[in-house]
Amino acid sequence: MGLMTNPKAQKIIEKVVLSTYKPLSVLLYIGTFVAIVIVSSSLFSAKTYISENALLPGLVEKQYKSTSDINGYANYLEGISKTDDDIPMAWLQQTFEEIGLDTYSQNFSASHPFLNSPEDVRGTNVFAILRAPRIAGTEAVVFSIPYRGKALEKKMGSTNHGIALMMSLAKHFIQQSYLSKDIISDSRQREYRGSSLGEAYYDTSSDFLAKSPLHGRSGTIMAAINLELPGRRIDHFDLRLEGLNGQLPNLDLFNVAVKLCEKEGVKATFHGQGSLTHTELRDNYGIRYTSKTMLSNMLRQASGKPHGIHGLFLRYGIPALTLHGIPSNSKKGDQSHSIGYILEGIFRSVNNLLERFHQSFFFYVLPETKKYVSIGLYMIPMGMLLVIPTIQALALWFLLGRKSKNIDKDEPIGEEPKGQHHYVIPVLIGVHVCGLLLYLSPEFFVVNFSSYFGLPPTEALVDWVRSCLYWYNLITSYK
Amino acid sequence: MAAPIILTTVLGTLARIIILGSRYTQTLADRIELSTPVTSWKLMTEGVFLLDHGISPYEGDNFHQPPLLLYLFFVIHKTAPSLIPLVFLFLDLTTAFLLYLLNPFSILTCAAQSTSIINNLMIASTFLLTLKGQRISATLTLALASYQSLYPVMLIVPSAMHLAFLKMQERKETISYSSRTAVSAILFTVGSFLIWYFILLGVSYTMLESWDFVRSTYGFTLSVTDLKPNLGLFWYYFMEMFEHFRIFFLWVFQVHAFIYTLPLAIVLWKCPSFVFFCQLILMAVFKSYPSLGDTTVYFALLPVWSHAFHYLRNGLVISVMIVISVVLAPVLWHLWIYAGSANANFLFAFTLIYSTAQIFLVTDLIFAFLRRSFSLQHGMKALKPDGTEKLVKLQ
Repeated sequence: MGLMTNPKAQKIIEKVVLSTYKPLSVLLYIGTFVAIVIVSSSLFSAKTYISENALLPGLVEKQYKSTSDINGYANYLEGISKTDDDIPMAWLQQTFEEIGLDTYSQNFSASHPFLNSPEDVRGTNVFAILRAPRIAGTEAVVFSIPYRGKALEKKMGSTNHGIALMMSLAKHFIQQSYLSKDIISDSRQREYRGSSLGEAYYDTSSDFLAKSPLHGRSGTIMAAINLELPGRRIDHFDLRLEGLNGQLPNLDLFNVAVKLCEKEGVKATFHGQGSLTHTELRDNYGIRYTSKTMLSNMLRQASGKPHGIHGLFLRYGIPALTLHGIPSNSKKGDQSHSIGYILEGIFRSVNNLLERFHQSFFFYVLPETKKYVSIGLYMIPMGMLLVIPTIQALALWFLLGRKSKNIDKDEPIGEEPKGQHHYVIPVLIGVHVCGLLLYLSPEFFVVNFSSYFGLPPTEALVDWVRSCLYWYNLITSYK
Repeated sequence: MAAPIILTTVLGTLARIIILGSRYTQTLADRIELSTPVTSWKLMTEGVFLLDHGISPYEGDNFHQPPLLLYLFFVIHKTAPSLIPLVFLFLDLTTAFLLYLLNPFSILTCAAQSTSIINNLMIASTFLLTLKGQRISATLTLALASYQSLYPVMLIVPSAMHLAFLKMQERKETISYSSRTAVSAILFTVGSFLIWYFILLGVSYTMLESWDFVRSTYGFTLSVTDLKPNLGLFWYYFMEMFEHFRIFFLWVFQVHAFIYTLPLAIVLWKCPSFVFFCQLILMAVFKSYPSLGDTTVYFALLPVWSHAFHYLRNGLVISVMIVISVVLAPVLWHLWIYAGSANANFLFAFTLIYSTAQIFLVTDLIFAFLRRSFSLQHGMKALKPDGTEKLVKLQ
């Protein structure tokens, strides 16, 4: 408090701020960008490590044996998804039940908050619970795979092989005695537009998503793994972490996945960037790759859009990630075995957990798969960016004080200068009213007026945003 | 002059009616910033339910509000349950009539149906009646406020001082608290307060025919057994601390909450109403279960001391700290409780900022107040012999 209460010190602060705030702001602005890039370099980023001792990835003997069924399942699904859009519910349920899992399904229909979507989004999710022998159904891990069908497969790639692998793994796990967490195998339809298992599981209600009740449940979900496997052979796994509103899973889960991929000789990447060797990192150009990865990581978070359906689990506090298989060019060979090992390993690691994921970081950005930049480090550029409005505001405040002192020179001393700040009140209220109107306008505009312009609702929304930007430019340039 | 008053009255009433009628009341009632275990409407309904079924609400460890309040809401619930939001609206508007109307904290507290509304009304009435010199009614409202939440007990000191002050002014005596007039006035005030207080306790006893409620209300407030997070300082410390230090720190914290009465009364003896005001801020910081509702009374009284604002040094810092903590505390609460990616430290950091801001406010105000009195005595500019301005420091 000494600094703040001493009038002399305050005068000094005032002097320093007023004389330097303009160049300092520019300098900090440039400095922020430089700092973000520098922070990603190998000089600052630290090597990832497994923080939770219970995980012990890759320590156990590999036991999974890929059966011949896996090809049968995959072939059947590929045949179906070539012609049909709907999930083969009966077949999935039957297969899961044959394996010995408790199988349930859930129907849902989603609607847009204010657009009457021409295509009705309906779908079914099928999920099967493998009851673990060593626990009374109090904890569970989710293994989820999106089912895409004909139309979506063309856009986003097939996931049929993943479902086949899921069945084969379930067949393996049900014979094991070590499981202490239930495994919920879950095939979702309609990606983000459908109901997520989190919503169904915790039964959160939404005005825009109608769903049938869930008839079977397991325990608390400790983690969720989402697999998108396009075929028997992949070039590498791209690991996807960013969830809804930029939320991230615990870094330990990512580390486990990277470590197991490495162990099985499957390359793992993050935003297309694998781990760099020591010389590559030390090389002057290493920073080019690391900063690019880190920035695309941040950009994805800033967009608020999840990077895979794992992102919907994160909002329920469930750490989750997507293993996205990038198809290989060569058709030869079958990697089902090593991919199976990776997943077996991840599930066994998570199975070892005694507490929820909490040891490692929740706030981080990644310059590559084996390095991380913790919150303590990336907050420095962030703080630099925040200093700018702070000193600008301080400078304004000090200037205001000076002005009022000059005005009141002739007035009797000790009088509080009046009427200095009042003019901001109408502006403040005006800005808030404008904000409220803008917030309400898309719905109002699209619902009421799109038909006059002969526009379909979805396009009208885009046009509305465009016209807003146009008017905004017009108003600001007028001033 | 009438137009702005009517406008604010209409706006303030409308805002309360709209929020009370909306679907957000439940959400607001569950917010830790607005409802504490001693003021929560949810727990009040629980108490009413238990009473309705012939079970004493004070037997369990759930209900911590005083019996008269319980019976009040019990009666309203029995006769006309739909009136309950209107009761809160009416009580808050009465306080608003005395003090504030458009303070968002008070509107939200009203919408959350937190019973701190009633406490605020009592404290505001005490302040008004003390200034008017109405001893009997002022001590009654003060007794009601203390009966409900215990901490206002310390307001008896400035209240008694002010009433004595008025008496001495009336008799045109020089101000001295050791004079006969002052001592008798103080004794009368304290006596009348105690009589009211014991009447309230007695009535509560005859209603319940047991003293259980004392342990459940005052015992609870003092021993802080519910460590649900709130805006105060207690929960985090008592959650982190080893159990065998608990009694010791309980004394430290609670004595801390009460002890400022004495030095404030000594330093600011010339202006008991300012002591009253400072006590309100300190209460909002150091009580065991504070909420945003506790700030509303003193925020409304702040302009009373606007003549001293000239000497405030940290107005900007304090307002920024309060805004930041109030905006970010719910975000970090979400990160901790719902998203699971933060922890208790995150929320506590912001409740700490919130408390620190209020402490800055009170220290800065006291400084400004004393600095102004200094200027009144020594002139605006204290000059050194060589003609340069002296630096006035608060040591």
